Amino acid sequence: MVLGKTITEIRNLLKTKKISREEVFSFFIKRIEKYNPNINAFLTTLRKPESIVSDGLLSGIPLAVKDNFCTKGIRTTASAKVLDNFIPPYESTTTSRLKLAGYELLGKTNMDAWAHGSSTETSDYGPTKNPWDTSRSPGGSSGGTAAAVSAYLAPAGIGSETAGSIRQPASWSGVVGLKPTYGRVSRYGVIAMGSSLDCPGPITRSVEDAAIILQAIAGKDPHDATSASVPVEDYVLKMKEKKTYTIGIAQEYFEGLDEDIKKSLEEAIKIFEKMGFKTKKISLLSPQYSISVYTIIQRAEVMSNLARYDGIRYGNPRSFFGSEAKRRGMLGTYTLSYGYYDAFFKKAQKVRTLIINDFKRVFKDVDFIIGTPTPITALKLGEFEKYSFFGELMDKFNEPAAMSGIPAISLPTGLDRNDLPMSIHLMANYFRESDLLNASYQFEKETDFMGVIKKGIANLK
Amino acid sequence: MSDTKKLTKEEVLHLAKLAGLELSDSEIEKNSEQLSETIDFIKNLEELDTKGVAPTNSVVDLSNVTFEDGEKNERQLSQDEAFSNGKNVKNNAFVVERII
Amino acid sequence: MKNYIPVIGLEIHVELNTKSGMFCQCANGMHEAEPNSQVCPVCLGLPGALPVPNKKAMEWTIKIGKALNCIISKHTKFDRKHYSYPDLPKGYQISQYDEPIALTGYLEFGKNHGTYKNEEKKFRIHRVHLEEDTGKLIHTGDDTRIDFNRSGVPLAEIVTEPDFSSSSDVKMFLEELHTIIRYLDVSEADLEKGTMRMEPNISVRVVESEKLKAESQSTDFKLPNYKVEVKNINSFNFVKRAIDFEVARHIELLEKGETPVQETRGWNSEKGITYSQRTKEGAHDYRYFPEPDIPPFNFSNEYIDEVKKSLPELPSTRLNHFVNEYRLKPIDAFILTRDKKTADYFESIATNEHITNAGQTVANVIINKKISTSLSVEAFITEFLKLTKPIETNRALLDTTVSSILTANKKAVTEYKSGKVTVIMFLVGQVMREMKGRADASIVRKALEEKLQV
Repeated sequence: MVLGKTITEIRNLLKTKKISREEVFSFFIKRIEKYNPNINAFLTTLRKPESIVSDGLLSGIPLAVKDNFCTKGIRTTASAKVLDNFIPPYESTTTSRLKLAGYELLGKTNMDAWAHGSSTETSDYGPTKNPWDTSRSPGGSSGGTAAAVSAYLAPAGIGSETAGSIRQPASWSGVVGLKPTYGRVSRYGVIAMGSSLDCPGPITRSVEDAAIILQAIAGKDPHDATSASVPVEDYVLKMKEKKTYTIGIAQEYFEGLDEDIKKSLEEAIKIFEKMGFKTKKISLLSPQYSISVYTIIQRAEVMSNLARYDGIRYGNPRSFFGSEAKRRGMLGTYTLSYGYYDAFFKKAQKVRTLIINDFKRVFKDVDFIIGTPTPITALKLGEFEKYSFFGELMDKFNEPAAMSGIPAISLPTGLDRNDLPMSIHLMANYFRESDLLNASYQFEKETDFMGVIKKGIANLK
Repeated sequence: MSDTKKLTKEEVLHLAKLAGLELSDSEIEKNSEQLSETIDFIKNLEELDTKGVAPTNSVVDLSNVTFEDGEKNERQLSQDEAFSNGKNVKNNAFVVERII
Repeated sequence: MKNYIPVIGLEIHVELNTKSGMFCQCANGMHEAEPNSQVCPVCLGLPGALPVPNKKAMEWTIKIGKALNCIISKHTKFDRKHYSYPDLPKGYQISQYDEPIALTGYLEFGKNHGTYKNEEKKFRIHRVHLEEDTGKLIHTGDDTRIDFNRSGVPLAEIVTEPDFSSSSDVKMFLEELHTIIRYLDVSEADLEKGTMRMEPNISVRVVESEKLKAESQSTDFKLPNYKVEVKNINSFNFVKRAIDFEVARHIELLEKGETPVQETRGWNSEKGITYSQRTKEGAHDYRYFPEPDIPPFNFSNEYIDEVKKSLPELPSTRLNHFVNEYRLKPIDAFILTRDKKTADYFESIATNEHITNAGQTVANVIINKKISTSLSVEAFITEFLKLTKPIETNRALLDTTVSSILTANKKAVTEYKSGKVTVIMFLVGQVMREMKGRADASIVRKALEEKLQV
């Protein structure tokens, strides 16, 4: 009865008493017991529902939470052996708000260690496998959550994005991924990777589910000085209004795409036009520069954010750091060190201003910019290792939005010649999540995502 | 673009020391290659003219964010909670090997 | 012939006694609390924790800057300063690097200042910035124990230019700074408890003897190529002694043709020496970058003026005010203004309606502890009036005593009448002695003068 249902649908079943929350919870636990040993999406799972809020937006709904969110009393590792036995004595704001909304924590999901990666292969607990083809990666760094949602080991979940870490795994795993505006959702309690970049956000099987979760977690937090005071809208309500938009098409975002992905992007544009949306040719700074800006700033912030792990108050000694963490820490040190700061870090911050201004200019004329969160579909496990910063190269279409903090959503658009999921993404101006959700909701209604999400579960053996 | 000379072992070790990281011999070699490669790439920013452009330290349009002194401390940890993840705790203190 | 001039700059840390921490709500100033009992995820540096600045701490740092005649930056921000030490939970300290709250101030010392005749002096302040304190380390046996209660306490750091060439000047400056901080009521500034910490940076420069006098006044010279920082000094006397020791040590090395090692040294007050702690190799590579978790600050002129207006009258201004308004001797005005409470107390009395033109007398009584200052102002005044009440003089006895004294001292009378008027004091003394002090000296003098006119 529950299989494949969205949050909205499960909520209806619960409200009409067709099922109890214990039954819902145990349904997912059974699936996890059956499939997780192979998929390795979850690192920690809970045994039973514990929420005391019975009339919240998410009451009775079990969710998968990426293991970089501090959950009080429950092991939180960021998939890193340095935090192998870390049990946070406090709760992140995002999961606190989910608790207030009545959610059930199903379990903590696997990720690239410290969120350093785009394939979940740098996890110290083994990679997560793509449910569509278990010889492949589900993407990263929120690979565990994306795989769990794709395989229906959870109806939905929470991930985090620094530059593509929600959108790219959502794309490779064939589900919906929303990166909110930086500052829309509090970072308090999220194990920091790139402090000026990290955005918690939902990974779901429907646009409405993404809207519901965003509703529960968005809003100003006095514990996070970078959280926005912009009022939180009624996302579900606004999602269903009748609207049309103008979509910007930039040639720079079409370069280097796999043929099938390019075709599916072009088809998606035609579908939006058919729905009454306008399109406009625009020009943007080449994403090549965003790669450098992102690499410099992110690795510097990474180096800094890893400095607190000295093994004294918590965690294992620094000798437990994996090679990716070390590599990023070194580059971060280099670009901040005496004599190099101006040439690298400061220069990157200046180019960041150029990127922000570039988007501001373009958003005067269009509502969205369309593209894809990844130029290729899911890679085979082990292919990433060969490159020194392949992750950053791969994420080049996501990095501009990351650098400027604008929101974006990734939507499945079909399967490629290898039966692997493809997606498009829409980027919008600051705090226009309700417009992103609105356009996406219409697209979903029009296409049902080419049946991708429903087909996903059938893959699981 | 100018080719970055491959980072020497000493340079790599110096960076590792600053960053508080231990590297094995193979890691030193690998890092020396990969770092040099990455540094070569990120130099492409030199192509862009940023004269007169202010650096962006944060994308949020916020300033003067503070809290009021004396606010109730909702997040105070008990001593047990504070020590709960420490590996070496004695007499209500975190303990390390003597420094001075 | 070579001469040596000390070159000293100061770094002073002041623990602000706000109620909450710099970036969290943990209680500040709980010196008696159990170790690691006043912590939260933020000041313990737990994964995922984030800092939010304390508004009052920012305001008080502006106050300190204004009291030191600094320019307050209209735009200021925090930066991360990276280094590794067990008492630094995040592996970086949130501090300020290139845009501190206050810049380029000074403290002036006028002729009235101090317990000895001073020339007018001025010492420049380089900057005042705000940062967070670290945890406390206690070294015992084979262990070092860490208490994080102090982690995250707001710390204002004051850095002077290397304008000092004498340890006495340094002592004078630090004592005045201490008084100012106490006037502002932003810190206990207790040297023993460590809520005010002083670190001189010392070097010595060589100067040709012909230029010595001119050079010793100059602040525009080439800095020596080394400096030594001295820590662990917890009294003003020790600052002077530590500097004197260091200067002598440097001169000895320089005479041998050696340059003192650039390093951090500790002061051992028992032995009266400094000892090497760790080398300060040039500047540490702190890899500063702007703190991404904290948006920057913009201060309007109105806000800065508002803070300026909230400053009390500062000690040096008060000192001059007492000298001019109450005609106090500078040294007495100095003593009274060392502590704001005492200064306020004095002024409440001196301006009281029952007290007229008695400023200096009141000052004397307070300073010589003739009446306790723990009394209320009213009670003090009552006692004061009693103390200074003119002695009742018995006129009849006075007349007869005056006559008999004049008769017995014909030589003095002749001297007086021939113009040596100062001899009256001798005669007053004689009358007073005869009357066993039961007379008001000024009345006695008048009576004598009257009689002598005849």
